[in-house]
Amino acid sequence: MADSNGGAKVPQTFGEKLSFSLPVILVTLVLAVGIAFAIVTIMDGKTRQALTDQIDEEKSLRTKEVGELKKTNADLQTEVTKVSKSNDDLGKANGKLKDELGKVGESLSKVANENQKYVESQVQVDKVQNQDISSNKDDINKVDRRVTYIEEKIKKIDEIAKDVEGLKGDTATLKQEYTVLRGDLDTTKKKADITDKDLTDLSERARMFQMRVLAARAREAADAARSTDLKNLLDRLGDVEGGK
Amino acid sequence: MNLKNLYSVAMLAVLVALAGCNTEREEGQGERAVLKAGQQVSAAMVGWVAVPNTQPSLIADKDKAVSYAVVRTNNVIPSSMSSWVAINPTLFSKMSDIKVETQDSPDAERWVLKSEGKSVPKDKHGWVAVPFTQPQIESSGKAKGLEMATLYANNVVPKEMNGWVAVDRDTLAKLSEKYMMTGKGADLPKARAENK
Repeated sequence: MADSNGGAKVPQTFGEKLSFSLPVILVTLVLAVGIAFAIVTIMDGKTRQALTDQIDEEKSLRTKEVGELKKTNADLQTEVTKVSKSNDDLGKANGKLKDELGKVGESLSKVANENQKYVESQVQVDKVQNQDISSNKDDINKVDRRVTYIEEKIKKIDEIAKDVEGLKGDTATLKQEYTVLRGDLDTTKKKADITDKDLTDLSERARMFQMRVLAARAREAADAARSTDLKNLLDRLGDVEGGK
Repeated sequence: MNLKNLYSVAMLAVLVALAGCNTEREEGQGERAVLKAGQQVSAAMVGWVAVPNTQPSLIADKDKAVSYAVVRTNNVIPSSMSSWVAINPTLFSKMSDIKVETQDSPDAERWVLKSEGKSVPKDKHGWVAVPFTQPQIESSGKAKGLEMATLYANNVVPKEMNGWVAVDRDTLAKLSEKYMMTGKGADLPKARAENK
């Protein structure tokens, strides 16, 4: 067919085909490589620029941070210096305190000894004082008891003396006895030192007085009964009822 | 016997018969009469009071050596108990330590002899008529229950004194004397050594 068109001969074999297309392929390859190189070069340039910028920025930041760190470090060093100084001062103060504490310990020890001695002496004083107080209390109680005893006696005597007033018979002796006894009871009550003898004597006299009044009112009641003086008898019986 | 004497004897018999039909006093019992059914009230007894014939009975307590009588409403006090003293039973118990049993007052039925010549009813046969007198109760304001009354012969016991105890004066004196040694002021201290 090519022969009919009278033109160039058409390669028939692979070798011919390869030889025929090789310049094209080479040119294409060169172009492709050139284009690829150009693209890569461009891309690289841009990337390089970006990285450079980023590195610069990073570098700037680092520099700034390092500056700050340096400053902080310097401050810290200053602080450490101060702390060290303070520590030294504290060490010195501690030494002084130790010395002081030693002295105080000695003083305390002395005080403890003194205190122990004081406590022992105080126990002794308390013991003596307690004995005195107990003794005084006993005395006071004894006096109180005796005054109370006399007061009760006075009350009883006054009570029974009222019955004497109601008696119709001769009561002059009983009345006189009451007056004297009452006076003696009052006098004894006011005494600072009431003795056992005082109390025994008064008790006996009060007892005798009571017995005389009882006998007198019983005798009068019996007389009233025998003479059927019922009003008088009932009054006398009322004396008894008054105490029940 | 002439007619005049016969007449006198007859009149005497009539008087005797009439006298037997009237109420009359008992001999030896003072102002007191036991009524018989059909009798006519005599002029001297108008205003008297008749009650069933009952008297207080005497009781002797040998342990306490005390004799006493418990009076009941409308008892007529016999002359043997004249001048005795009746005591409120509570007070008597305190004085003697004898507990007296109380009994309810019986029906206080009395019949007043109001008009002369009125016949004594059958149901009043055997009753005792007396001038109406009652014992006078004496009391003391010092304590409750302190009451006594002197009894006289033929007193009629009032209802308020039902259950009271009557004793003679010696017994009363003995009980009183003993009782007076108790109560207020009787708590005698022991001789010596009391204050220790």
